[in-house]
Amino acid sequence: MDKLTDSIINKIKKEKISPAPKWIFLAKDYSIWTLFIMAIIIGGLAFAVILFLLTDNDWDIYKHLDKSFGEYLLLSLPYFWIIFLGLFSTVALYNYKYTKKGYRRSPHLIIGVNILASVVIGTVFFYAGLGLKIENIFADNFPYYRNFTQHKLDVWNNPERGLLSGVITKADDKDSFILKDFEGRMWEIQAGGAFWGGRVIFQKGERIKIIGKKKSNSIFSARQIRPWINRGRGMWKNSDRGKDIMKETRRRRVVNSERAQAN
Amino acid sequence: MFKNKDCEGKSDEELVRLALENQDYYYCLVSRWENKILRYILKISSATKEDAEDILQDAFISAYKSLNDFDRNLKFSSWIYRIARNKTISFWRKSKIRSKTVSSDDDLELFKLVPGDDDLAKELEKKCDSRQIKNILKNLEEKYKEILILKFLEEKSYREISDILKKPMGTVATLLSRAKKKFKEEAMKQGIEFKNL
Repeated sequence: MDKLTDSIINKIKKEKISPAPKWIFLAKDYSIWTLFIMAIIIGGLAFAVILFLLTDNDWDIYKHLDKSFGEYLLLSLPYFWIIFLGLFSTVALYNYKYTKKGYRRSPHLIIGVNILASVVIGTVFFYAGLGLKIENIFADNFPYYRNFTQHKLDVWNNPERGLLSGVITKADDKDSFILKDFEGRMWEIQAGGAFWGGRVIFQKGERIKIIGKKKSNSIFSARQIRPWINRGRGMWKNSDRGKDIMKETRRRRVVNSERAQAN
Repeated sequence: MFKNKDCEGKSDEELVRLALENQDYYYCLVSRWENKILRYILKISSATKEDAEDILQDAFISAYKSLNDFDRNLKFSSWIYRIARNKTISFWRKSKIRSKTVSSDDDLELFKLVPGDDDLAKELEKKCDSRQIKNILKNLEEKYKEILILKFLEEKSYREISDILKKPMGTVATLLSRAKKKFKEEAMKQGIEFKNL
């Protein structure tokens, strides 16, 4: 027997070394694949929220805000979810590389397939209404989330610039009804001749966005009325979200006034 | 006592399966690959022979512990080269002797070129001796040196190099092409001219 081979075999025998059981390696492989699939699914969920936020955004109102389309686009992009998608795409790539044959594929190909998978899964999730649901879960459970994403609330709380939003509280007459904005102020909406866009339903409790003109501190003349959520992709209808938005707006108002007093 | 004739006519992959049932069959795999792997460790590490033997032993014992993880679609040689490479890198990190140079004539024997179809290999064979090849490789970055060793000294295919280095085949091809270019540049610096630069 060769001296070196002899010493290796003797060491194995002397120290009673034996091959590790197969299940340990299988468990490791399955964990890596599970994490990879989970990362793709989470990436898909993030993409569903991105789609929801992009389709829910009103891309035509930038002129009311005295901004160029480019500036408005930069303000409107859902950075939180784009970062989220990027993060989980990286996790998926990392996991794939650690699968048994993951090294055989080019990282560019893995990233491409990974993003494509997130886009396809995310689109399915989006049409199933998951984008909206996840956005709601985050908005309801993570107080700081809205600071990153609720640019919509700020945009549509601008009566001086002709943008107003809130909940219909009295719906007797379509031409003149009462709206409570998300800060809790009551408005008489003069909507004679206004265009009712999207799938907005004229009923008490409906959340809407209005483009028009502020006539006084309690009267707003509407030119165009839209649903708060651009419908079609979500299943949310008359949930308690309006109350949550009001609560959050009040919280912000208190924080801002405390800051102002402190200064 | 296990005899060499027990190993005859059996493929590496078959021996892996047998070694999982009977430890003695691992002897066949170790005796079949120990010299090649030892030479490979010496080429990529510049470690002393004693250190290289320690790395080799460590590599074969690790491979034995992970025998159930061996992928039957892979060549055993690619797998054991990969393990030996990883063990060598760990050794570099621990001892920090990566850049130590080899100077003995015995070590120079390691750098004998394997004749191949590649133009560079043919031209090198005509123009360079072991000492010159060693001197050129010594001045190259580790990543280039490593891939040239696998291709021209160990005669590994692109697929095998991909499996040993755990890099995609495309990356291996690119790296090899750059390594050849760097090798030629370094050879020119040392006064060896190539026709097809």
